Amino acid sequence: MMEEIKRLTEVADKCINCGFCESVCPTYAPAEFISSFSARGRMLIGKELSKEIAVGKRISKDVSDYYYSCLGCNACLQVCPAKINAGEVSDLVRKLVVEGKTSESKQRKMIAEMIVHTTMKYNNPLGLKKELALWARGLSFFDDSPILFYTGGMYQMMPYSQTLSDLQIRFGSFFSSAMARLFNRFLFAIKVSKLLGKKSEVDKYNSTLKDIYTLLSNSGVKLSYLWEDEPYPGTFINDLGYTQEFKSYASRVTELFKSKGIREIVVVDPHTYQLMKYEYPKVVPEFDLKVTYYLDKLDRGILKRRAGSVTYHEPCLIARGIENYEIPFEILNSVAKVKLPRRNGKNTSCCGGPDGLLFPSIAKKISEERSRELKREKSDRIVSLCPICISHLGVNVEITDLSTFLIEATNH
Amino acid sequence: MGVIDELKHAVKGHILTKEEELLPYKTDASYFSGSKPMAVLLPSDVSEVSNILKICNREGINVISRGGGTSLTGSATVLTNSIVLAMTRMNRIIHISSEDRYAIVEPGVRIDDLNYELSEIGFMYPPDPGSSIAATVGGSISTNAGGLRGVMYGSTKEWVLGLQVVLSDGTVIETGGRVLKRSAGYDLTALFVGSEGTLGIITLATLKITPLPERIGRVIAFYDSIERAGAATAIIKKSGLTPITAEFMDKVSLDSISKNMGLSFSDSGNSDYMLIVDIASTDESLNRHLEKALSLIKGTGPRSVRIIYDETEIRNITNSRKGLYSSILSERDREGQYAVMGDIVVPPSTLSNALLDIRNLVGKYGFKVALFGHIGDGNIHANIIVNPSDAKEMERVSALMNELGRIALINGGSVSAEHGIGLEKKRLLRMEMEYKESSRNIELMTSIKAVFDKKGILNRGKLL
Repeated sequence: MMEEIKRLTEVADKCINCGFCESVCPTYAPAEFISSFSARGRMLIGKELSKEIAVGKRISKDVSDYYYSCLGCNACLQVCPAKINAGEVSDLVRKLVVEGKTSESKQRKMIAEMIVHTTMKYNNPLGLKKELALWARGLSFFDDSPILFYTGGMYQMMPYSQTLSDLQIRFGSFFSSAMARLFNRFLFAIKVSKLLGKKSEVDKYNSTLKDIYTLLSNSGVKLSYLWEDEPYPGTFINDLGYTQEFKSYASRVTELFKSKGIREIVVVDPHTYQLMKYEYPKVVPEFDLKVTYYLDKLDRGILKRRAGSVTYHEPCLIARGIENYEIPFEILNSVAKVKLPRRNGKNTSCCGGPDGLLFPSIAKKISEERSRELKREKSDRIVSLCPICISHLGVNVEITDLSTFLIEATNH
Repeated sequence: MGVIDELKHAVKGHILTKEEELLPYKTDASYFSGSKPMAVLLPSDVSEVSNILKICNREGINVISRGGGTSLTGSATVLTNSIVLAMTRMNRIIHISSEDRYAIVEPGVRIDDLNYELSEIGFMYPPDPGSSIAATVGGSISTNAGGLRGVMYGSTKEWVLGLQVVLSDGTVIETGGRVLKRSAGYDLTALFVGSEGTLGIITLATLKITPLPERIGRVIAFYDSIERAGAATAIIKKSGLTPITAEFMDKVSLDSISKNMGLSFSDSGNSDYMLIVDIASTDESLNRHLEKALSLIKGTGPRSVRIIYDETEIRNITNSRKGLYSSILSERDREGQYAVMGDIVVPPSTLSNALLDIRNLVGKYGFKVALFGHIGDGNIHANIIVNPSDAKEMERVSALMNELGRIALINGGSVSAEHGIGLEKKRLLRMEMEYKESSRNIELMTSIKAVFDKKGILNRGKLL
């Protein structure tokens, strides 16, 4: 923990308070322009916290919402002339919150703990199991293949988490607290969440996974699949600052893969890619599994250029999280005329999704603003490639997963 | 009803009073630490601002208006018994007229956001401070901000046609308007520009806009001699060519952007100074103008010089230059050090001598200092790296600032080019007036302040 405090002091002390980060922080305007809900405010409060904690004080002020609302999108880092990462400050303070160095809102704590507990027990934050593999019914896999098709349940969970988020907005904090209290007390109750997914939405995300599978299959890639045993990658546990729990969970997932003879994991979403490629090796000793984004396995020869224009919403983790990962743009650009919204490339805007469960009203406003920006380009289609982006922006605009768009391009 | 409740009612609940919410508003981008405000109010329209001021005027509460919080002189730093009026919720672009060439905007609109909207119809709002990504229209009017394009377009005062202002007693007035010409008594619009929130609260601005240049190209050069770098832009301007920007950076600045932005130049040859000159022109004449600038710069004896066409390189250099103040802490020798930023201006023809004097001055004090600035309009910045909590060190900084100001005055310039006065330059403002044998100006300013703000509730303790 001392290391985290030392790092917090080191990062915060380099900040000169120019305010550039506040101007691009997606949570600032949706949180009614309260600076504490912006990268700048988080940095300044972090600076004060580091001073107080360093002299042994336990912070009684509840600052946890400011840091839990940070999307981890790294937009701030792109514009910081000193290349200071305010997102890292949020990560560090969240860890301090979990370690009890500062107080936190009971409601957030309950929801965060609910997510961590259910993931540790059921290998999925919503307790889903059968629902994870519905999309693959009737498809062929190669059980002996050391190359794993790994969804992490991300696409499959979207219909359920979206409904949870909607319920929170509709019924407010009472619903969130009551739900978290119930689930923390009776973990099995989380399984009620499987009733929350709208059939049309479930079908949509399952269909997307089929499109990804078809692209890989048509590219000649032989894949194995874990069906209902497929675990969630643990993104939430890591993001919420539960360091020890994440370490244990990531080791468990890795052992499971190794026990099945897996050598390479082909992932289908940016969050899982980021986590497994960059975070797993930090916490799992001798992590030697190869992590590949599915687009890297694609035979581009099967794609044909199509008419019309497309606006590309580049997910944060593709534009900023994964160094120089420009493959999605390259592929999209090879099959269609691409228009980019005002905030694009390294300065792309978050969809708001990471705040969906803990701060649904902030997430909703971010999504609305980004959707307006995307619509402004007046393209024939809007395309993205992250299930969280698709889910959150899909409430406001018609948005197509890149895999579906590419499937159409193969049939064109 | 207590006064805080009354204020809460005036802003329909948009008030912050918890300690952790107030903390980010204590200070701005300057080195002043500031005090905790009584409350932060986030109004959404002019009537809310008016009601707030009526209450504060009655109660004698100091009101500090705040835009992007980017002041470098402490204009938005909080002093005791104050509330902060954060104008960021008032961020609508009300109307743009390309025919009449104006834009009506609320004060919380950020300059880059306004320019993005204008660029969609081929126009721009020229004032372009380094902090334009974060700085707001209201804040930049209040400090009469300048920026990179000052060499061609001047500073903010040239671009404000009219204002809506709430006075200290809550009265709402309109000054100026939508027309380029107006000969109707005292120019109250001009009076509010640069007044740093001490005369009234700006709630709407009518700004002049202009078409975007058809093409822009860049020449960069590296020098071993500060006098030669200083002479270059004056020679370009004398030739009849007006750059749209002309910037310079010294070695400390270049080291900083190399560390933070990964920007280095193979042709710099470890030179001590870099000159950046942008030329705006038409498609047909850009190359001719760039070649002319190149030839003129060559004549000043740089170590190397070249034209840049690559848009990414141009953008990276511009962003690095704009972020130089914020990135400078990478050059500090120990933790706790901060940057105190000097900001003077001299006529460009005197730059060569002025820069040499400044370099010698900096050497005399022994601080680590980054010299850079908008050399095209004679504006020089000195980023002094010091520990603001070390009283002895700050005394020496103060002495250095005095001497820096004196160099500006001797050469016919000013102690403050574009950052305003705030808390930092109150003494220097008096020095400038004394130097010009115009101390009566301070009396006039004090009288003006009293007319607009009898109780002294508007940004008390700043500027005068």
